[in-house]
Amino acid sequence: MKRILQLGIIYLVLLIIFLPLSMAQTLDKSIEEKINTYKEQAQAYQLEGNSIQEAENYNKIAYLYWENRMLNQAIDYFSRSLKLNKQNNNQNGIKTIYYNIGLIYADQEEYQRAVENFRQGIEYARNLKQKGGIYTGLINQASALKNLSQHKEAVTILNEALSYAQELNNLTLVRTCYGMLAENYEALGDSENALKYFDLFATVDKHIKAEQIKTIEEKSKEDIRKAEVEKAQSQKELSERSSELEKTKQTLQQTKELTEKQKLELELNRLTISEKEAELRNKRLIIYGILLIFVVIIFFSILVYRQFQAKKRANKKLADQNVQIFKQKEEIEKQRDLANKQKLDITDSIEYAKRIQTALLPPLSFIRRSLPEHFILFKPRDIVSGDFYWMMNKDDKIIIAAADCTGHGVPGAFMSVLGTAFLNEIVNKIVENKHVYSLQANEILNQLRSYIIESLHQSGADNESKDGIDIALCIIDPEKQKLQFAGAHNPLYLIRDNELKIFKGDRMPVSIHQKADKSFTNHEIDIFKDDVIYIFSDGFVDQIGGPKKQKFMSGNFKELLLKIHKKPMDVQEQILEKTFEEWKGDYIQLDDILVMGIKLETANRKLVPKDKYDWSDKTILIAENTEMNYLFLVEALKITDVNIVRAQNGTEAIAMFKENPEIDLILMDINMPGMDGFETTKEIKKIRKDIPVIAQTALNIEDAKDKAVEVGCDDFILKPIRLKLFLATLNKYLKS
Amino acid sequence: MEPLLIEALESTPKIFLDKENSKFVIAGKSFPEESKTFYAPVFEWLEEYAKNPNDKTWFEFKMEYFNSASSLMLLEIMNILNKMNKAGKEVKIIWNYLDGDDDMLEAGEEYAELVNVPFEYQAVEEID
Repeated sequence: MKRILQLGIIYLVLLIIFLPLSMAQTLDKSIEEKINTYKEQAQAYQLEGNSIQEAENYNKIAYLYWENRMLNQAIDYFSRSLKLNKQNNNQNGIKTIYYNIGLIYADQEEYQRAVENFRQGIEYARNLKQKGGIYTGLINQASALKNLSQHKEAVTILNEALSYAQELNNLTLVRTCYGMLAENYEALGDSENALKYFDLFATVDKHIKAEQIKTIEEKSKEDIRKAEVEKAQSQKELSERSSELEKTKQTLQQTKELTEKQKLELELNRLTISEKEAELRNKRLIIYGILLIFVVIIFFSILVYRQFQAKKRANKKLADQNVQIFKQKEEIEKQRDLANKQKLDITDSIEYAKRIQTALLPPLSFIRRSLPEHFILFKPRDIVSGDFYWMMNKDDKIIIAAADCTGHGVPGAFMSVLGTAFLNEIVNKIVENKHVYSLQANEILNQLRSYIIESLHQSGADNESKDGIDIALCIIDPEKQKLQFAGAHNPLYLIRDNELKIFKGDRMPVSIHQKADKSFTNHEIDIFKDDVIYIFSDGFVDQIGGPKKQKFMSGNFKELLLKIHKKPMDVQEQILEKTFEEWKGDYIQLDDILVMGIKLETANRKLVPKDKYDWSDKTILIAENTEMNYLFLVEALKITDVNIVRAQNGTEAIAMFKENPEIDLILMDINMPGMDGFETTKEIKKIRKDIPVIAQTALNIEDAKDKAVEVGCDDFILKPIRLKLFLATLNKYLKS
Repeated sequence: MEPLLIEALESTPKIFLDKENSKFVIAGKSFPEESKTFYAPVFEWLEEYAKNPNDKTWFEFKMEYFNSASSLMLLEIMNILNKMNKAGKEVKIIWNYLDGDDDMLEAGEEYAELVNVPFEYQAVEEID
């Protein structure tokens, strides 16, 4: 009996829990009623044989389902309407429905179907010669293709969309095309075109935003001006009202004085009247007096009452005006918020530029393979940076540079992109035309200077750009144990036997300059065991801070490097960063920071040491749908010799995990289509609770971390992945 | 000629140019967002001064920090001084730097290579 009761209670509890859940899947009552009405109407029209109205009602139903996220039903009703529209040859209707169905499929991540529907819709739009309609279809189709990673097809379609956007002379549409073209080229690895279209995107974007901001600013100014005029008006009325009040007060005072006078006069009269008459007069006087007092009292009362009323009216008016002013203030604040939002949009576009700039820097894994013991401390002042580092391998030689472009932020970043591209071209050309052994550090800088002077059209005239680059460039030849160095302003520090040697850069920048006809100096240095070199921009030594708000200065910098040069490279980086932050304190960061340290002895050994990780007996399952990310992980894990199996989505990951009991660890991408990483982790943990699952995602949100922990992930890695941290994290779970 | 006085701010140096008392100083930190806008009145004043300069112009630089955009502006100032020097007036640049700030001393030496004006270097304990 007790047991039955218990079961009953559990059943009740479950019912209470799941009832709302099951209800949440159904429609709101009122919407359901609406849908039913439309269904009835559709039926009635069907009987009448009015297929146009019947289709119209199906559309209404489909839209309602769509709005309420019942996507399958929405597609169903759109399909019914589509059939009728085809019967009636309503081409515009057919086009719209294909687009709608396409959008719903895209929403459900069924991109192949989405593409097919957009394609059909575009056919009809073409028949109708609707340029705008064709453009919309093409853009949607391209977006779906991009999600299918069919970037080449997307590019073709975007080019067509672009021509329509240009015909329509609509900058916003053009901007969308440029942005999507840049993204697709980036995905194709065609950085030249990606850069080109991003440039176009940024130019158009800047133009559009400048226009928008101008309009808003003008409107705000106008509103503020109006508000000020009205405020002045209100103040004027207020002061008029006040002066009226003042006048009333004065009248009152005068009346008071007058009555005093009268009293005195009466007194005087009384004294002149004879004694006999006195009694009679006295009586009269008393009567008059009383009367007079009465009159005065009434008079006063009226005055006071009027004054009170006037004051009340004035107050009310004032209150009304305050409300009005408040409203205007609110309106102005709204405008200001809008302007702030615009500013945010611009920041977003700079953030996008940062992605491109970061993509141009050599990947850390690439540097690490040639220079196993190095560090790069890179702290841009703004979102994008004027400092940049660059590296290239030619046969066994490693060419590496730390550069500092005039300015910081966006102008500096433009120069840095130019510098990166030029350095690549120069080194490739020298090696192609001559031989890798003819590479000279100073010659690279000489050529870089010519490129910059030529491309920025610098002639030395007074009012033109003198922008340029300060740079320290090294060529490391590990086979011959030789090092070449050339510098523009920036030096090379070499620490050997606890002594710091300075190789000064030439006192001229890579740009137009009085000495631009002079060659840069080439320094050749023999490499010894334990040699450590440092190249850097001036951001670190020039940072103001400390107790006296002074520059850090190179003296302190040299001392610090001497003190730490024997420590592991990543420790050196940490110390430098900590020292910098402590020195800076709450002062602003003045410039971009770049410091690179390299231990030369270990450079480019033919056999890359496996570091401390050997996982040749381990197997990792990587659940990752994006090809690029997967390849990056494989690259990062290469030196550990670990065995890798890959799943493209959640369902596959679960199946593979069941099939391969030897899997030691799972790297789980959170953002996968279909079953996401959270769901997949939950299922996998049900199979084997102790299998380590490490989530990885680009979402830097506390929520994602919390959710990862909640579903049972053992650890969490944020993209972009930092190699050392990544390997160390994996090692925690693999070593046991 | 009216003297030009610009007080130092967070990112801009103090500037004091006074023909009558023959005092020409630029001192402090220079990293304005718009270096050309900030230095425009300085160039304007100096160009005017160069038309009829004193017989002796000792120009004092007391820089603590300047960014690359400002370094070009300082060079512009020196170019104007250079012109006066060529015109036969006695011009000298007194380059002050914080004691121990070798980078600032070197920056002065680099300028000295670029303009034909005598330089005098002075290590100071403090930049006022």
